[in-house]
Amino acid sequence: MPESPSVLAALVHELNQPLTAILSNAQAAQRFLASDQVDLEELREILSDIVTDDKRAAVIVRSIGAMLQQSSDDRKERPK
Amino acid sequence: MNAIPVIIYIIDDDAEVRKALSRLLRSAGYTTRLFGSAGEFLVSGEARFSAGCILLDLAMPGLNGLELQEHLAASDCQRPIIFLTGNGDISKSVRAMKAGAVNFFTKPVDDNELLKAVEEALRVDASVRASCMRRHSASAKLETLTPRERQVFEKVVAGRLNKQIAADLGIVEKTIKVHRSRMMRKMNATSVVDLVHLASLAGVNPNIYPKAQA
Repeated sequence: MPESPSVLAALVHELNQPLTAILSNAQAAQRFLASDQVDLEELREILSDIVTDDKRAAVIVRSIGAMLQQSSDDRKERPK
Repeated sequence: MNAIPVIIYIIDDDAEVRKALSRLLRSAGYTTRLFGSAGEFLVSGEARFSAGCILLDLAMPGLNGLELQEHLAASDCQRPIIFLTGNGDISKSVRAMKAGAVNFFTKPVDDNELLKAVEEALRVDASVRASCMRRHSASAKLETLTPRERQVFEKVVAGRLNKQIAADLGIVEKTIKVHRSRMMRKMNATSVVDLVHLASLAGVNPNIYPKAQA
């Protein structure tokens, strides 16, 4: 699997997107809560997006795990 | 000048990231506009006539962030750019900063840091727009001059006296004085110093005439 390191790098890079969305959503919610008028509908949407992005991150982490597992299996099958 | 709305443009190919960044900026009281690609933003042509700054993802399919920055730099009076990138690519961040980016962050970005950078970018934008407006207004005034007044303008800026200008242009000094006073009024200038300042704002090179031989 010669492409593995670059695929891995791409997946790690991809992980940053949901993490960015989760952080900014959570911090936006904190700021909205600190304001005088709290828009509950907006907060509900934010929480729902955080859940979605967390799941998206989990899928990427699983792919990375599977890839690491596979490359370690490959090494075991072909001992030097 | 305050009549122009301040808008934060968010350009990122990830819809969830766009939405989250937009919420964060709205929670701090800003108005945002979202674009899924550099091309979409360019086509809209929006940022040209507004105040604000651009939050730009570095790695996007199609035109990437650095390419968009280059493209925008080629046109006059553009909004300052804050770059966001998925990985801390040092060489790209250096390139972006050298090309005039006001800041560069690795994702995920903390709210306080980002909001501070936005504030700074808006200060940069205000001064860029002010100098841009001065340049445009100087050029616009220059456009109102007749060809003769324009000649007189260039001579005065180059430091020529009325008598010399009369000789240069082959007309009597009295007529030069008439052209000169009309030109000064149109340029809204009260002194040669004002005029030289306007010339440099409008990009007119004041040294077009060789100095008189000693």
